This record gives sequence, structure tokens and C-alpha cells, in this order.
Amino acid sequence: MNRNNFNNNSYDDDIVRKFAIITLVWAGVAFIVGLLAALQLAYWPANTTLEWHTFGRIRPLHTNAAIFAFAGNAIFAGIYHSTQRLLRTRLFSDILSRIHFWGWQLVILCAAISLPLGFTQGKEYAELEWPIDILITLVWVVFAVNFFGTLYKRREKHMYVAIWFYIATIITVAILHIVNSIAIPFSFMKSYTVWAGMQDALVQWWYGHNAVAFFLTTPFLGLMYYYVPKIINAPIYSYRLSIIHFWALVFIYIWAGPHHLLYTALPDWLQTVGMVFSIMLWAPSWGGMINGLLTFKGRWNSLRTEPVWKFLIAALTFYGMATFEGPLLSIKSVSAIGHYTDWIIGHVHGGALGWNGFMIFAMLYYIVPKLWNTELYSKKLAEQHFWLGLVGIILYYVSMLVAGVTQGLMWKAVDDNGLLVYPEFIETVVRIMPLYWIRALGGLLYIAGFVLMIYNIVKTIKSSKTALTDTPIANLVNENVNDGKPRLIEGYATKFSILALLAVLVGSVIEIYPTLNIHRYVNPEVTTLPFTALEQEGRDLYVREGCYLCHSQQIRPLVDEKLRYGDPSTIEESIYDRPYQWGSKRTGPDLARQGKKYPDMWHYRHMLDPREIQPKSIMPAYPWFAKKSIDYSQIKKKLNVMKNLGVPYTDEQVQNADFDAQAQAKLIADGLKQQGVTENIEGKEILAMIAYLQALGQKGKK
Amino acid sequence: MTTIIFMVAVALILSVSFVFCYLWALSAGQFNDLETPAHRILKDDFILKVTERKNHEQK
Repeated sequence: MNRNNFNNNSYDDDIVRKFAIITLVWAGVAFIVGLLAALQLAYWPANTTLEWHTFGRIRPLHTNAAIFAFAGNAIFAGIYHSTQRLLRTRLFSDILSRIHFWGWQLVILCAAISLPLGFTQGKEYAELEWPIDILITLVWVVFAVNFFGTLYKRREKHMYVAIWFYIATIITVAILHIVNSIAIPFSFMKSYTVWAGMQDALVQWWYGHNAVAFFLTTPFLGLMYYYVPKIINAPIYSYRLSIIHFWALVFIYIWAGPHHLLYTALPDWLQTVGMVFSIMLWAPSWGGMINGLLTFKGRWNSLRTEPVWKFLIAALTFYGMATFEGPLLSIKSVSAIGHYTDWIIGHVHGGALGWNGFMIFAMLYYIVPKLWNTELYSKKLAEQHFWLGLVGIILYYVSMLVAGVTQGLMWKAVDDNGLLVYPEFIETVVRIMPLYWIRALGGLLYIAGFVLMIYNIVKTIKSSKTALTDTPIANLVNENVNDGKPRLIEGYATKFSILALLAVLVGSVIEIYPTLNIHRYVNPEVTTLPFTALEQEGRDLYVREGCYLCHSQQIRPLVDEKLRYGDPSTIEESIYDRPYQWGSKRTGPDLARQGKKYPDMWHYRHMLDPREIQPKSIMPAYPWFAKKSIDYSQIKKKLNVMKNLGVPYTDEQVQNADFDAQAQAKLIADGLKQQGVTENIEGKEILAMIAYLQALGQKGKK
Repeated sequence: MTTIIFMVAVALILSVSFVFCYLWALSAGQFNDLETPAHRILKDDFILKVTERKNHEQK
């Protein structure tokens, strides 16, 4: 590795090789953990009785690994590879590049350890606790400095469209991550978010939706704009379209977050804005897809022989399908059926496996042979990889679409007498179980294809005979393309970045600013009681176990939901919820009004063994709730943080939090003992959990 | 109602500013060259080959 020999006359290929290899490593982890999660849903004993191994903890591990480890490292590999070549200069700093690399791997390692242990903020794709959040911020700043430093010393004045997408990515992800992760810690590895209830829901989905937009879309569009032309050796179909594509996409995407909250207690105007912008988003998204696909114009014949081309075409097609389906699902009446079902899971995997996955595979099949100075070991294996992967995605997507629509319609089914046709939630779960198996099979095929790729890449790298060197920087045609021409905004990095920042800030500010004063939306005649100390403790356990990943706490104002769960949820009820736990998926029933529905004994038996209550239940058992003791030492600190954040606890309540919690726990324990529980449950976590479950829906009464 | 007025005002301001942005971009020549940037990125490999050959010849 003699990269110092070249210094500024060569590209830093070593860092690209590092990111490329680690991408494949984390891809394997993300896929296998995903398969495990799929099996846990199809076959509940796969949850085992190990507490760090249940679906509620595995699922965040899978999503974080897929987004931040697999896609993240691939993005860095692609950005570092293409940026150097587009700007015709070596990266700003070799040291920063390496801090970026190792720092990011440290983040992933921390996530891989802390998530199964149950350290989570309880917000989807933003689960990581505050120390890791700070680490992410630092690494991202290193990345930003390195990238903008490279822009600063670039030798190609004009910035190609791929660079614009990278700029938008870096700026926006920083804003999203920081705003959504603001939290007040009360101990090392535990904190409460400053956002509450509806506000938290809005900020979380502004983040969550734009994690998809600016982590899984814009960087990949940048990669698409670079690698599609490079791989097929043809200029992008329309540079004009790419300008429109970029500005329209970054401006509109940021608004669409509220479509995750249709029919919830979120103010109506926000829901409508989210829906309208989601539909508008269809245009720029398809503009991008069409621009990519038409680049192949006149070259389609090579599609037969070039597996990498197949990956590109399929990736673009899946991008088009996902961005057609997204606006569709954002229409309120479609959302009424699709939301909370597996349809959404199918939708995201169409995007993640098809668009992101295939784009990454194509990129790696292209850059690995180049970086190792050799040829791809086997085109045939790549071809087989493609078909296995494609069949895998189709099985996955179709099974989840059918499962989602089936279950959504079953939930909604009301007979002539105005009664639910399927009043038992479990009936709708049992019906889609075969589809869960098909989904797992689809995932398995995708992994099988990936295994072929690993073999292929390893063989390719081993076939490299020459010593690894950095590619010399290509001579310039002209240092300044704008000489003698009107100055293009695309030649000015700072101005361009500021404009991109403004484009994403407009939607963000207009949506979030009004809700900063949350009291504007709250009915002053409704008093919401805060959770008692023990209930809050139970709530933290609920978050720790990731219950929100399968149970929503948000009843929509729809006929069937009123019949099944009770009155629609209100803003007031969750006004003190940190984090909000409205959820986005109902693998099990909604819990917003679960409190006082069943006796304590029901919950006790159900938590320890769900099958004892509901023989067909697929919920994991939580036997450790009856073994682990409640940590009373933190309760005062927790309530104190809550009080400082505006929850109306009195000083006495904070002072006596631990005593109050113990007293309430004893009350529940005594009640359970009277009904025949013989185990030693004094001071155990199950009591806090029961207290919380019984408090659900009880706090916002008039 | 206040929300609607707010949103209509926002929509008007945004759309007017977009029109001005577009007119500015047009007059500033932002759309003058829509061909070369797309072609330029394809060239680095080509140039590389030429320089390599030159180096080779020199040896």
C-alpha cells in the first residue's frame, strides 16, 4: 500500500477499498439479522427466551444495520470514489478520511451492542442513545469537512449533478439527525427526548421520512448519476432534466413526513400538507428514474450480456415502483387500508433491496475490479446473483403486499349489523402467516444471491496480481469550464450549498415551527395526568423491549377502529409522552386504550407466556420481567428531567418518586398474590409493566 | 382558518419566488450549456489511457 508515493497526484483509492469491503461485511450482517426477524414473525419460538434476542430488539438492529451500516458504508465508498474523479483531485485529507472510516465503524459497533441490550430512544431509525448520537454527529462533521474541503481544492470548477446530491445529503442529514436526537440525558445511555407527543411524532417522521429521502435516496441518485453513465459509457439522457430533478426533489421531499401520520392526532392541516407534497413528489422522482433509464437508449442489447447493467436497470425500475407506491400510500383513503400493515414493510423493502441494494451491487461489481486492477472473476455468477436477488425481492414484495391488503381489509370488515367480522385480532394474524414464510423465503433467496457475490468478489480480489496503487489523477481538459461563459451556479460550491440548505429548510420550518408551541393545539379544558413514577418506569421498559414496533398507540377516527379499540386518540392524551409511542405497525393490536380492559392477572400471565392467554399468539414471551428487579435508583432523576421538560409533576412527586413507585408496585404485587401467584414478584419489572399497561388511555379523561 | 390564510400566503410567496428564481436562472445563463457537463465525466478514463500511452512511449 504505497499511497504516499503519489500524494496529490493520485486519488485516494485505499479509503474507497476500505469502505467497499466493509460494505459487504455489514451487508451480510444486515441481511442475516433481517432473515432472523422474518423468521421470528413466521415462527415465534425463534424469539427464544433470551431477552436480547426478541423481535423488538432485533428489528432495530436490522434496520440500523441495513440503513447505516450497509447503505451508509456503500454511500461513503461511492461518494469518495466518484467525488475524487468528478472533481479531479485527491480527497481533502487522508487522515480525516480514515477517522471517518473508523469512527463510522465504531458507531456501528456501538449500535450492534447497545440495541440488543435494550438501549433505545424508541424512535424508528433514530433508536441510538445520546452518547452514540453525539459520536454520529462528530463523524458526520469529519465527513462534511473532508467533503467540502475536497470541493474547496477541486481542480474541476464545474460540479457535476452527482456532487449536488452529495451536498444535499450531507447538509440535510446533519440537520435531521441533530434536531430529532435532541434529548436530555438522566444517566449514561438513557435520556428523554425534548419533543413530546404529537410534536415528537411530527419531528420523528420529518426525520424518519427524510432518512429515506436524504440517506437512501439523494446519495443513491448521486451514485446513479455517476455510475450509470460511467458503467454504460454514455452521457446521462438529459442534463436539463437532472437540474429540475435535483431542485424539485430536495425542495419537495422534506415536506412529505406527515404522510406517516395520516388519520392520527396530528393537526389536519399538517396531514393535508404532507399528503399533497407526497403526491407532488411523484413527478421529480419519476423524472430521475426516466433520466436514468433513457440513458440506456440505443444500448439495450448489452443488457443481455452484462449483469451489472441488469442490476442498474432493475434498481432504477424498483426506484420508480417505490416512488409511485409512496405517493399512492400517502393518499388518506389508501393509507386507511395500508397503514399499520405489512404493505408498508413490502414497500420499504422494494426500495431497500431493489433500489439501494441493487444499486450498491452494481457499483461494487464495477469499482472492485477497477480498484484492484483486475477483471471481475465471473460474469456468470453475477448473472445468477441478479436473478436470485430479483426473485427474492419479488417474493418478498408480493407476499407483503398481499399480507398487508388482506389484513387491512380484514380489520376493516364490518357486517350488516355494524359489527366487526373479525373481532379477534389474532384471526387476521393467522390468515397471513403463510405469507410470512414466503417473505422469509424471499429474503433467503436474496441472501443466496449475495453469497454468490461475496465468492465472486473474493475471487476477483485474489486474482489481482499487481500491487495496490492509487489511480493517478487524470489530466485536465480545462481547469475552468466557465471561462468565457456566463457563470453557472454549479461552479460555486458555497452558493450552491446555501441554496440547497434553503431548499430543505423552507419545508422543515413551515411544518415544525407552528408545533413548537404545542399548547396551541391542546384543548385547555382537558387535563392530562402525567404517568405515576411506576408507570413511567414501566413505559421505559415498554420502550426498551421495542413494543412499539408491533403495537401502535394511536386509534384512527375510522369506523372499524372505533369498534375494535374505542374512541380515536387525541393530542392531549400523549402530550407528556417522551418518546411518543404511536407506532407505525400493528403486528399485534393497538394498545392506546388497553388500560383497565383486562385485570392485572391477565397481563401477568400474558407477558410471561402469551400462548397461555391466546394459544395462537406470535408475541415473544418475556419471562425476565418476573426475574429482573426494578431499578428504583433512577426514578427520581427521570421524573426530574420530565419536570424540567414541562411535565406537571410537583416537587413532592419528584422527591418521593421512588417511595411512590415502591408503594404502587407493592399494591399490584399483593393483588397478584391474592389471586394465586406464588413466585416472588416483589419489586420485579413485571409490576412496572403492568402499571403502565393499565394506565394506557386513562390519562386524558375530561 | 388562520392556518389556511397562513398556507395560502406561504404558497403565494413560494410560487412567486420560484418564478423569480427561474427568470434569474434563465437570464444568468444557467441553462446555456446543457450538453458538455454530461459528457465531461466520461472522459477521465479516456484521458488516462492517452497519458499512460504517452508515458509508455517515452520509456
